[in-house]
Formats: sequence, structure tokens, C-alpha cells
Amino acid sequence: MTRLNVNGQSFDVDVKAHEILSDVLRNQLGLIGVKVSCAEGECGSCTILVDGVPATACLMLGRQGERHEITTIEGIGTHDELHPIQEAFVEEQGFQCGFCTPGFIMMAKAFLDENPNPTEEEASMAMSGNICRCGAHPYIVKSVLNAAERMQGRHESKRTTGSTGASA
Amino acid sequence: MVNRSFEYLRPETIGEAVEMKAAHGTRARFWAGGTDMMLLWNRREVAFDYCIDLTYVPALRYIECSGDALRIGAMASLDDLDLKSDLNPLAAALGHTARLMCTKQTRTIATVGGNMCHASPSADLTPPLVAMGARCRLLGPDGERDLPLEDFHLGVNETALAESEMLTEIHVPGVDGKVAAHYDRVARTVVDIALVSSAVFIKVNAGNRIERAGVALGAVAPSVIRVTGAEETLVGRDLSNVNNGVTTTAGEEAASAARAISDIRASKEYRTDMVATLTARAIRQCISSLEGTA
Repeated sequence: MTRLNVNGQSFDVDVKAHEILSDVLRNQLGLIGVKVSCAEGECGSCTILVDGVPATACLMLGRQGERHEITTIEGIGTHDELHPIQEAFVEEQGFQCGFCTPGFIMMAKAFLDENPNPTEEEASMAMSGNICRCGAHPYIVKSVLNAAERMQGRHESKRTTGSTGASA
Repeated sequence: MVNRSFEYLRPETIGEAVEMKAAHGTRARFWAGGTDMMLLWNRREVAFDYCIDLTYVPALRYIECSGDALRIGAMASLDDLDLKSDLNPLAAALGHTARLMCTKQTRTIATVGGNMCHASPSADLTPPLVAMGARCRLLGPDGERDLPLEDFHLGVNETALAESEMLTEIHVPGVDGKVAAHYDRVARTVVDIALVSSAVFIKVNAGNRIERAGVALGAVAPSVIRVTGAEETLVGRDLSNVNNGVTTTAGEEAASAARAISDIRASKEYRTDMVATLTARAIRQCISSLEGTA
């Protein structure tokens, strides 16, 4: 049995030696927020955090998840209580089809934990390991900057409640 | 699909890892970061019965200066190189090189040792390390040996490793004092592999005279090429004497040493021209960083 610590919970899983971590997380633990697109470490869709460090789960063996704290998108926010980065992506529309979004958000989390107040260029560079095939990159960079503001408690929502006829 | 698997072995010390390899010989492969190995396995381009995972051997993961040498454990990740850029000017050059490679989330997995052992002609770390005069330490059941990195790479995906040997360390001796290195490449995008690349290393004495120089080219031959002609052009000169004429001559030396090929990605002529340009630029970059610290 392979013991995996994922999103604060401990799981004993039967993992075959050649099985890939992203497949184990998806198929055995049901964490389908881990997306697999290229399966070659190029696109960043499967980005997870391993002890807080971003890693492409498609390039790790399932057994290599042992003795680490793994975080997936399911571990950072819930449907009712979104993580500030998720709220920022919603507000800035940092996606179209949404397939690559979990990978972007996990990468953004690792980045903002290290650099809470980034410039646009730094945010853009930090997101360069993830590919959005819909081409939402400019909005994604805005989302990351928006998330930085939220996480520092200095964000004012663009959604004005109660106002009518206000033009943006 | 026929089930295809291997037995997973997890040593925790260097000694255990070497014992496991000796016990299983060619039926076993070391799994370093695995970022190349995973793809080779999935594409069925490699076959083995035992996977010896080195990621749980902490003694192989370090980057440090000790005495006059920069020492890099085989399991140091490419991201470790980036994070250790402040250690000294050579670590800074290697950190810069690492940032050109793959993506952040893959650099945290990929290792220096794995990059060396995969022995790709376009491996970005090889030219700067060879230019710096890096050596590698190999450990087997019969003991340790130490050889220049350029002798470690024998050809495409071929190394000097014996059947039960492992690469434990890359070390760059004699690099205290005033040193600089720079690597650059031509590639289409940041995640691409190099079409052609060049690295320069320069060490000057107290009087700012160049006492050692290294010039190495990547992706223009089956393995890295060291350009002694360009090195000789530089050694013995005062830093202030390295004018455009000198960098151009060194670039021409590099171009004539290159054995580039034409393929779908670039022509032989383009690669050869770019070798000259990249080499001249890398020399100027080294000079300006040395003048900054002079």
C-alpha cells in the first residue's frame, strides 16, 4: 500500500510501480481537478503542490507522492467558499473552457505565496509554464494580479451591488 | 495493451542505491527526476525491470561552495540551481541557464544529474558546465572515479557510466577569485530545446588578465564541443583588451569548430552563423560582469 497525504487527508492506495501520480490522484482518489492534457510536462494542466512547491503530476510516479504533502485544486477552495485566487479568476474571466484553470490556479498559489505583490511582468513570467489553449493569457495575468490584491485585503470588487445604469 | 511495469526500489542512502544497481545490473535503471525517463517509458523507448528511485536520497541533493570548488549533487533540481543563483557568479550563470529550461513546475522535478546522464546533445546545462571545466564523480561497487564532464558524454544519449556506476556529483574546481560565465541559445520559445547554444567562462587574475577561459558549444555535434581555438584567443589578454575584434575572432573560431547539421528546425549555415554570434555575445557578457566586479 502507498500512503498519500492529499489535501490534509491520509489515503492508503494500491499503486502499481509504473502508475503516474496524476492518474492515481484522478482515478483512485477521484481528484479530477488534476487535469491531464499533454502528459509530457509541457502544458502545466496537471500542476499540483508537493510540500508547497509546484510540480507537474504527469511526470511523477504515484509512489513518489509518498512522504509529501500534496495539494490539489480540491484542497484550496470549495464551491461555497472559493479561494481568493478562484474568486479573482471568476471576476477577471481568466479562462474560457476552464480545462487548464486548476493548473493555472495551483501555479498562481505557489507563485503568490512566494511573491505576494508581483508586477505584471513577474506574474506573466510565473504563468509561462501553463498553456491556455483558448488563449486567455492576458486575462489570466490580470486574475493573478487581482488575486494578489485580494490576498492582501486591498481589493475592491468590480461588481457594484445596488447600482443601476452604471457604465463601466 | 499488454501490462508493462517494473519493480520500484527506494534507496535512502547512496550506498544502498549503488548496491541495488550492482544487484540488478542492466535490468535496473536509476530514476533521477524522471522527467525524461517518464516520457521514454511511456513511449516504450526504454525497458527495465527495476526502477531505482533516487528522489529519497537526501545526500545527493545539494549545491554549495567548498574550498575553491562549486559542488552540485546529482539530485539537485533545476529549480535548486535557480534558487542558489546568489551563491557565486558561476551559480548565477547556471541559475540563468536553468531558467531557460522547461517550466517552473517541471524544474522542481528535473535534476542536474538526470540532465547529464540523459546526454542529449542540446542539453542546456552541458555547455556552461564544460566551459567552466566541470568534472563529474562516478561511484560504483569498486569505488569512485572522477573525470572531466566532456569525457563523460560520449555521444547522443551515451555516457561513460559503467553498468553499475552512478553519477553522484558535478564539481567545478578552481573557481574562487574573479570568475564569470554566460550561456545563451537560439530557441523558438522558452520551452523549446536549443537549436544551437554557446557558453563562455572567464577567470581573471588580480591584475585583470585572463588566466583561464572556456568556450563550449551545444547542439552542433553529437556531444558538446570545446573550442580551444577560441579559448586561446582569450587567455593572456587584459580584460580591457578584449575588443570587438577579439570577440569576433573567438566567434569565428567557434563557428569553424561547430559541426552543425541541417534538419527540420534550422539549416547548417544558420546554426554555424549563430554559433559565432552567440559566442561573441557571451564573451562580452562575461567581460561586462567582470568589469562590474573589478
